[in-house]
Amino acid sequence: MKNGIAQLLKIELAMRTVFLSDGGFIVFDGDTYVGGDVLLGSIAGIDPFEAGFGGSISQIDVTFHPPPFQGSISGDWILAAGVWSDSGVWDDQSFWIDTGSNAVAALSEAALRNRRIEMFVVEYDPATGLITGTPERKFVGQVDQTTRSLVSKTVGVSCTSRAEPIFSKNAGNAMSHEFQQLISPGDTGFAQTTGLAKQWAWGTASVSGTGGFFGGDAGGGGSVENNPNVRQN
Amino acid sequence: MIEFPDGLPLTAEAQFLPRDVEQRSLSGPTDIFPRLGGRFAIQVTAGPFYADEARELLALVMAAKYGGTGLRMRYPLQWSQSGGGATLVNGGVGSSTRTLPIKGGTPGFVIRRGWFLSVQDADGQHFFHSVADNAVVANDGTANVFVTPELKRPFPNNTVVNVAVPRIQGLVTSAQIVWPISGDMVAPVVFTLEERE
Repeated sequence: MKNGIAQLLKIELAMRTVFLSDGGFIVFDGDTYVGGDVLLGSIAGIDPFEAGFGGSISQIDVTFHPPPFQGSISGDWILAAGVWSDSGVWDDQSFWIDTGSNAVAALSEAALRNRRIEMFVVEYDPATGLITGTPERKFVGQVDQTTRSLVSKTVGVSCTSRAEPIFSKNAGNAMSHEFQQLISPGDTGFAQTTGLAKQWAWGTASVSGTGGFFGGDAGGGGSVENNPNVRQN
Repeated sequence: MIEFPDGLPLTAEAQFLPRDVEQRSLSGPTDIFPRLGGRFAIQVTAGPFYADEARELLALVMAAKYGGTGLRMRYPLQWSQSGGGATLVNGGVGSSTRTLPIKGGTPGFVIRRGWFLSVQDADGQHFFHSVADNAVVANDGTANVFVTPELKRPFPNNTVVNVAVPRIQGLVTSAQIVWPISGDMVAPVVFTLEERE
């Protein structure tokens, strides 16, 4: 009998780790992977892996079907940590989602962003359900952005390489208002100039560092040009 | 979850839906690689009923279909699977995802190859399985039942295992619910029920 193939997905949320298989349950490395999770639901699809070249970064997109929460738990609230309750306080280590139709809406970036994600492909013996051979780790990354579709009730999660922080490229001094303030405080010449794009690293609270024509990241002085994880306005 | 009434006249076609990957190569042999997550479905034709008898059943199936509520029904066995003990329960998590350890059985009772059983989790969800090999209940009431497909979850100790009356539970996946409106006032109710996982 041929060995079976299973894909496994592990996401380390703040309060607990989600272990998802592509169906059934299987034990790998001491952890039990199951077909569905009470929070994320099941995996709807995994887009092909996109390798990163030059200034772009490796990424993979995973789409989830959030759980329908039918039957006895309908209408309750669920704490993402896995504790059932009707009331509670909000903090950034956990979050609440309505188990009704708003589940997709609430399952947003805050809970998932920057969480470590790993994907494995394993072979298992169909007679025993036990993993055989050497599992392959296909991807290690972090959750970058989530997109949710209320129409199709899906949550898309794009994941980037853990190497993302080193993708900030330091392009040296830049012609920008911020840099000009360092060498000539009070000079507003660049501030009066139109047509300059400002860029900053995705996820930062506000513009800082040396924004300008050559770009600049939140740390100051480094450019993030060519980085797909940069938001521009 | 809507319960389909027991004891109604029906014919059915049961299906096993594996999730294998088939590889047909240009040069070499064809291979099939198993994957986790195989499930069962059953295509049911209940009745025929007189139209006035069918209407409540029709409403019930429509309710199960509409809104994706789901349906649970007794699997229409054509043999007896009773006598193994009043209530069989899971005896804890086994080392294999295809072995279901049970306890509380009648010593000497044989759970036979080709029988069906359903494991009922704490939420009442039934998971349907085929018995892959004969399993004899030992003197202490335990047995290891080899099932197809793999267990869907690591069921905790004392999870109920239904052998005498297995039930299949899932969604009504037929694209439409169709019923005849005929001159002889006789109507079958036709639907397909597929396990969710």
